[in-house]
Amino acid sequence: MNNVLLSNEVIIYLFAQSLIFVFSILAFYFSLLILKKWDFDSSSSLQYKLEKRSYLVILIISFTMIAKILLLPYFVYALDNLSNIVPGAMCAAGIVTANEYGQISLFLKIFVIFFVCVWLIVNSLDLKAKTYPYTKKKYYLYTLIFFLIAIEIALDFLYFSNIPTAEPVVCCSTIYGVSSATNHIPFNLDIKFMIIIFYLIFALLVLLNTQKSTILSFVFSVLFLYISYYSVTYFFSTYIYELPTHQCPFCMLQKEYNFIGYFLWASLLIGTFMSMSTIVLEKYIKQNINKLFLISNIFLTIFVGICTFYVLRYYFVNGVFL
Amino acid sequence: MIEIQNLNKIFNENKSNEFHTLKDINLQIKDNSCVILKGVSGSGKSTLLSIIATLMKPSSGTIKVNENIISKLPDLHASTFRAKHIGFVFQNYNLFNSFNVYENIAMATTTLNLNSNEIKENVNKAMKIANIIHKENQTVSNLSGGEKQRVAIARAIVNNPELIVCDEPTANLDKENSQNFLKMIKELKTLGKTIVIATHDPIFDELDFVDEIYHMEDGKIV
Repeated sequence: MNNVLLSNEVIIYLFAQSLIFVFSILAFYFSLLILKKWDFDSSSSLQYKLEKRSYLVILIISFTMIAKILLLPYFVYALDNLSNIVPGAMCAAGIVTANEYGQISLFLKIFVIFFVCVWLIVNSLDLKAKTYPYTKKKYYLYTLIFFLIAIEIALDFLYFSNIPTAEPVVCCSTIYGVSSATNHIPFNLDIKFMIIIFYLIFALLVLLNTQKSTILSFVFSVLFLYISYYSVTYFFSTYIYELPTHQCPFCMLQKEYNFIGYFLWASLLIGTFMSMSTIVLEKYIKQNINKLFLISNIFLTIFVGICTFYVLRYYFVNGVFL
Repeated sequence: MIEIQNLNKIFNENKSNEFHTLKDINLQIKDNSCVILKGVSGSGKSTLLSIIATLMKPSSGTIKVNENIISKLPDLHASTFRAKHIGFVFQNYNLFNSFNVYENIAMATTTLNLNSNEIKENVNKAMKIANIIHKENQTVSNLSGGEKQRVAIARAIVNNPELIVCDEPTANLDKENSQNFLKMIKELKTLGKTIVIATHDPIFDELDFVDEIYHMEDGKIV
């Protein structure tokens, strides 16, 4: 058997994913029953039973959703640890690109987490109301999430069983070198120009969140997520590693860098997802939740604060920028 | 006005030990009235009281209080509704024996986010009505049965609910304490409360302040 599948982290991860999937299947089956017969206005025996059952199903789904959120950083942690057994890999960057499934799997997981966040918000609004107004909508949303989770778990097994342990993989070692950096930046932007755009979009996004502009906040959140990935990888990461040629989005997840990568990426994802979810909620359940804009601004500021802190710290310690 | 429509309660549904406790109950209880539910043990009185008090959900049917359907309230809202609008006096009082009288009564105010002055004011008022203020600092385990019941009544009225529900209130009391209880119920009625009492005690049979007596048998009102 492939050594990757025998690694502790991968066994734990796949076991947890499988367990979540089993619970998801159960919840999916009952969700369909509830969707088919739900009628809150009825006082029939069936409706009372469905309300009772729905309570249990919501509990199961909430458990799986929270477990999914916690499993994302663990997935990255597992990849990072695999770099010890995969030749050529220095961190999770090499493992993610070890086969064609890695990046798709990672992107799908992030995509799923976005819908999980939306589901959790819809669920909390539904439970706070007196008449379960969003019950049907949240179960429809759950069916979508269920199918995404099914694809995700299939990809997980394909991905982990196809990581080569005999041939060397390409890792962040190949992007060491200043000249290669600009080639990876979208539209061949100059790094300085990209950082100016990064701060401008951040300021604009905070302003739009303050103005509670759902559509523009969504657009600029997507843009900020995109530009932040490249800004962190090709600029801010060099200050975290204190090495101008070390440009990697994953090494910062390691102990040597105080696991700062987890805080950095988590604050970016929470900040942008909260802002992006406002329009989804507005269109899907006709609810404006202004609190989400505030949460978004808090996490985006934390994200930008962490990025800026490393640059300033380097400058104050060394008197120069990289 | 409390309106009960086609109310059913089935325990262990679709199992070998299925038990149909309430069968198509239809009932109207007017505001500021005192209603007695009479019947032998197992006739469904306590189950009906628990459903009226939102402590339990029916299997089918509805309960409306002032046009609000309370039988379908989600648990979170049911508990808030209960705290604000319903006072329950349990047969065995359900008090915290190691806490004192004041603490037991104040406990019922915790879900309403009142400040300490409001809590103190409400508890003192309830203790005065229930005539237990002189035992304010006494631990409940040191009280007599009649005193415990007065604490239970004070706890039931501390949030000034419109509806007071009592389950077998005189079952554990002697004659004198039962008479005291009746006086208190009469006083609560003059304060505008709606009172529903489940009992099989004949002491309630011919009271001037009782508006309706319903007899329950085998889960039905007969």
